[in-house]
Amino acid sequence: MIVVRNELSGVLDIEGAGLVFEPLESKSIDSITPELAAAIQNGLVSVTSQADGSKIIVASNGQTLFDLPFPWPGPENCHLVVAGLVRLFGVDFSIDAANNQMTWLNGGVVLAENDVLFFLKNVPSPLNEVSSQLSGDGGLADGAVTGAKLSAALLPRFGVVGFGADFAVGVGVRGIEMQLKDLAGDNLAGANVVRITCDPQATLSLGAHGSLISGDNTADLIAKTSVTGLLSLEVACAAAVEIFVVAGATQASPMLDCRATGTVTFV
Amino acid sequence: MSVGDAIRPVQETTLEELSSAFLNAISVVTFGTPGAEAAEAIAVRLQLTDMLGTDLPKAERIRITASGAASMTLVAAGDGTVLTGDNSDDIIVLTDAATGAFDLEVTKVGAATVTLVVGMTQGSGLVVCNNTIDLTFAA
Repeated sequence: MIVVRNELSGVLDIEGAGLVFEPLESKSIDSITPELAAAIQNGLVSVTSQADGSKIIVASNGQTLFDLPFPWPGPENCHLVVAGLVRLFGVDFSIDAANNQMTWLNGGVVLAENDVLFFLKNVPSPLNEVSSQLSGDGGLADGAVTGAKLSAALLPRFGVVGFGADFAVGVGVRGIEMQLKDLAGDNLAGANVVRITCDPQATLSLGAHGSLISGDNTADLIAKTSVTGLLSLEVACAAAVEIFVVAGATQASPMLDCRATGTVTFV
Repeated sequence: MSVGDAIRPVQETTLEELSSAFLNAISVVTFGTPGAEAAEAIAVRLQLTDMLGTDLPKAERIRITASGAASMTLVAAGDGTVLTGDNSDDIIVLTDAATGAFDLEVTKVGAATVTLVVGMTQGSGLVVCNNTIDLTFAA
């Protein structure tokens, strides 16, 4: 922080710096831009004081009370160095956070005029930014890991079976589609093998999506989904009954949650 | 502590850190303590738990296979439902949705050790089935 003063008797507009001074006006500036530096060098403005936000210069011998030049961030984030030694919070000095003042406590070290008190502040780091989101031991909070947070490599290892509504295909034949999703609810990428069974009074065959492995026109079919996890089935039955279609894991299947069943209704 | 230490999930995510929905998606089949043999039958309770060992109230299809041609059925008034294979050595059951349990009764005539193994089947969810149990029948 520096304080600069317009040395002119007129208004000074430092173009490019965004600074306009009234005659002899002083301003506190956080940083010196090239335009302001040029104005200083040209004698248009002068630096009347400068303060280092990280240090205090003792004003008088034996001084013990100081105004902090920054908001106190807490002893874990700021350390005091006097005469080359890091001083202990609560022993060598204390902080009145409400008034943002420091009191020097160490009677064995009498501060003298022009002694310098340096404050070393922790540099903000990603750790500080994320630590509030983590539990005390640095791990994730219990219950924080949802299926959706699994890595892209792990998520496809768990498939969840879902069936759509049945639809008419032809006389005595109805269709139904099975879709594999991941634990995040997105379609499971990749062709995966599933076993499909149904009441033996009906037979299963492959529809438009997927590829057949075995059991065509039987009640026990093994097929591979499309690369988007979709399997189209055609169910044939001569009776007016409700046929339940069930999926399961078999050879070459991933981990599958197959609790959902499909229903095909023949009337 | 480094940032790397703080963000530990790389190979260090624990079961406790899984969400309940994720944790409950995976069932573990466990066996209770078998009852005393009576009329050549032993009752044993199958209980679904989550991976932390907490009972999981969930209806789940499980296939149970018994060695030695022992026969299996549901304990009278017990939890669960037999779907297929009642009174055989290979049955498919549905655990009780309210308790996650199936009360199994195994019958074997004569002295024998009957091993029960469980597995996923058509319509099963994600089930861990690597627990087995041996039932000892007296002569």
